Amino acid sequence: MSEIKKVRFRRSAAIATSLAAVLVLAACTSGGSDTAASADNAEPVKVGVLTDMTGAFGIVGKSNEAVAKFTINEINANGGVLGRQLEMVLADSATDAAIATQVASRLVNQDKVAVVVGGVASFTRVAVRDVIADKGNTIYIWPASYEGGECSTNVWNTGSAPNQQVDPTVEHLLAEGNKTFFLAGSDYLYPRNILARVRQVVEAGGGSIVGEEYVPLDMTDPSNLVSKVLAAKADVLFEVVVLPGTAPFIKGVVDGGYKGKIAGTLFDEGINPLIGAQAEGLIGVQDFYLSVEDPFTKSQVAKFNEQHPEAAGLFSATFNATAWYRSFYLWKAAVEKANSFDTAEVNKAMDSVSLKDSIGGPVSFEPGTKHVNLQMYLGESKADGSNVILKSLGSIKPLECK
Amino acid sequence: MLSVEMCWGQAGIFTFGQAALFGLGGYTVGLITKNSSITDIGVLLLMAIVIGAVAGLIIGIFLFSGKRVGELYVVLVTLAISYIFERLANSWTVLGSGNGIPGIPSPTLFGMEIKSIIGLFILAFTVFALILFICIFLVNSQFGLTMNAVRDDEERAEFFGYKRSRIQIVVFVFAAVLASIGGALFAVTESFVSSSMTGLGLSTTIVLWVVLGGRGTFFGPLIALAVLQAVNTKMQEVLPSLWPILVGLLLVLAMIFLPKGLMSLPATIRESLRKKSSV
Amino acid sequence: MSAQIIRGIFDVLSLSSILILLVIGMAIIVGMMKVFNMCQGELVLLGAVTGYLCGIYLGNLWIGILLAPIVVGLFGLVLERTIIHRFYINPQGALLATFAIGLVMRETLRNRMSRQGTPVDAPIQGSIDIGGASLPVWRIVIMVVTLLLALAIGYVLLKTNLGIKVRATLDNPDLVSVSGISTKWMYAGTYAFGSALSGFAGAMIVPLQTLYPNLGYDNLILMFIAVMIGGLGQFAGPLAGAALIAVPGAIIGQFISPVTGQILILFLAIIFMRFRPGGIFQRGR
Repeated sequence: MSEIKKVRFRRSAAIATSLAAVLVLAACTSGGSDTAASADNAEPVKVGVLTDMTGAFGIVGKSNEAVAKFTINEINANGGVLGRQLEMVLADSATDAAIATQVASRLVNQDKVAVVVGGVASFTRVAVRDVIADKGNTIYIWPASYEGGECSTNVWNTGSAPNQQVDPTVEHLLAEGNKTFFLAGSDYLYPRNILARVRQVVEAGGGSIVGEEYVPLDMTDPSNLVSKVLAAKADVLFEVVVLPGTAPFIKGVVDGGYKGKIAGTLFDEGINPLIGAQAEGLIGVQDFYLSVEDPFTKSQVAKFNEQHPEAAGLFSATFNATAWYRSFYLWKAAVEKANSFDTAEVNKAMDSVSLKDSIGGPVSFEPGTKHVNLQMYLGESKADGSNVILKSLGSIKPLECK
Repeated sequence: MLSVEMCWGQAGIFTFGQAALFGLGGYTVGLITKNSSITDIGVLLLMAIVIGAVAGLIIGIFLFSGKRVGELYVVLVTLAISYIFERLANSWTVLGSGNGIPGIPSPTLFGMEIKSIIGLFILAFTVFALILFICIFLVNSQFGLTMNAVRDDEERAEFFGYKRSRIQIVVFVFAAVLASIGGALFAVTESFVSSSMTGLGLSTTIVLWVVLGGRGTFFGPLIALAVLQAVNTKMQEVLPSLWPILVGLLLVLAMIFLPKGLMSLPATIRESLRKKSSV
Repeated sequence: MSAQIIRGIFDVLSLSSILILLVIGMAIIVGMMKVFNMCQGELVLLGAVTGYLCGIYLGNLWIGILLAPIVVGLFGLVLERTIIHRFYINPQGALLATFAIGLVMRETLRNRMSRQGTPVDAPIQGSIDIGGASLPVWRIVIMVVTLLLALAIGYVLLKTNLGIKVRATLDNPDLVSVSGISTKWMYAGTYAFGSALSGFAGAMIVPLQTLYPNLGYDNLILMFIAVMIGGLGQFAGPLAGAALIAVPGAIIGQFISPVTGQILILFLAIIFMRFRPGGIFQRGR
């Protein structure tokens, strides 16, 4: 029974917590907050970085770790946050919700990090947010484009919300004269929510849905689905079939003679190489492509590739690289605005912070939504995996937490 | 984990399906607390027990009543059940479509909320101690002896008039209830359930503990569990990418050199020393 | 409309031939040798990796397809002589040991990969047009190869001297060793042969899928069920078992959601096996 181990761990965590409480109390009574703050000055601030270093998403974790290191080093080189250096505490959530809560609890209760940035899959976010944000009363930044709906206290979303990717994609396709859409996805929450948004926008724009199908998460040969798509002859196939099904599915559809457009939310330099030559012509919207021309973006990505050769080629929007980068800077901005690392204060400040420069373009929290206004780009994939930007869409508001 | 030990170690029923039942207990608690205001730990555990027992009974009767089936079949069916349950947890909206059920409230006991970590620890420990006690009692009882008899030689046990199928079903149900309680406790202490706790991963981990600890003993797996988990957490930090490979190698070596588990290590060493000295 | 029917029939044939190809190696190791080989999926994976590497470094997947059975067969031989042979008397031990071996292989590959997966191009690309439906050539190649391979192995096992020796060894090792045949090397050879077939299957199917660490593991449960439905102790049963779950699976998948379809097939298979534990060709007991 696995609780034994957890409780054992919890017990030591509890002892640590109570000890720490005593220490804090002593500090407060003896000196007041001013001296406490100045005494802290030399101490670095711990920042929790939680990602899947192992398991199915291990490769995403590799990218996340490198981006986190890159960003934290950069912040430290420029004087840190409120004059204090940041110390990165890396925790491996191992693509497993139960392990994620254990390591999250360690970050919060043992390492006493000021903020946790992390999570790859939504099930990780859902599992750790109570531990970090609620019970742990620590700021939790979720740096991933996801299915939407995360509005908990102390939780901040820095990835794109469904409407930011879906709406412009569908509107572009409708404007091109495409009328009929076929929706296909893997069977879990993310694809279902994304495709629900697609349906809404298509129907509002006068298009029609001619089919909607889901395949099991680990289906490696989606031939049946391919045949259904080919039979439906829709103008657009909007697909959110995740790995390992993506490549066989798209290959099957393309090789089967499908004539329409294929759109999705997961096409960029990170995923396209897995699809191969059949990636040619895939349509999607992301907050970043390697072909973004913004000078700040270009120089930062070049610097990243130079400093982190181990993760070169892993800097992509679908690996959440841009969201990770801005997460630390948005938090830094909020801390500096609040002039404090206190959770409640930072939480208040976070609601309206913005960054003039970030990779992909300027970014700001849309007040009251816990999500960010993002520069979005409509891109088309090429056979070699690269993407051309068809249109720069400007800043798009998140429609969340209303 | 005791549940697998009970099933496999004591009665010789090899099962890969405990995670499904573990998940069943967890999701039961998740759904109850989500859809009602019941948080009393007694009620929650009772529900987990009932559900676990019903599921165990259905699967048990299906597997063991009537003509006897091969052990490979049992393995395969329990594997398939784990797999199906994980699928359902991933696709079914009621079960959170893969995100699980978060925010399960702290349990209450006679109206008192158990919120502190120490409180939860005492709760888990009490339930665990109680179960351990019942297990030890059962194994040493007449029923336990019968159980071992069935494991060691089905035909002979039957010859003596014991009903093989009935005993196997009872053990299976008992194991299912234990797994379900485990799941329920997991849910209230961690305040969430998700599909990763129902899947093949957990099932195989549990079996691993029992193998390393040595089947047929209760304390072996417990010790293996404590040691392994402590090492596991540490190693995942030190060697994140190599660790799963090492676990596999360790298991292969354990299967070859320590077929009776870690508990037999002292005896095995003594044995080999004696052999050496006698030569 | 007719294009749709042709495509439907093609899917059924294609999906069943792929599962049969995957099961052939397992039919030997699990079906005939009765070793509950949990690393069979990883033998397929190793074949796929071999194919992929040959595709990259030698520029030709054909070489990979020829080399895969040799590499995986040798690997199987070493595996059998070092580890597997210790567990013939202990089926549960075999199950766990092979599971652990599979884990090691899977995680090693995960460790070595720089991406979540890699596409592999088929040596023959493109598709041919039949009645308005365009059918991928590589899937047709797999159908033909699977059929020929199954027939050839069936012939060797049933009609040749070697086949008779192998079957005799597996049926009654004591008797055979008395008659002067080395059962030790018979077992090892058979295991290696089963491994080689899985390796071959891996190299053949990888162009249709993506090369990723769970390539074999994700197919494992279906493969096992195919073998169990077909029945242990023979070669043809598991192949028929594979057809028996793949054909209805592919047909059902055309009408209802693949998710429900997959769960339904698993349920039916479990119930079928409960009432016919000896498999399809069960002799009256």
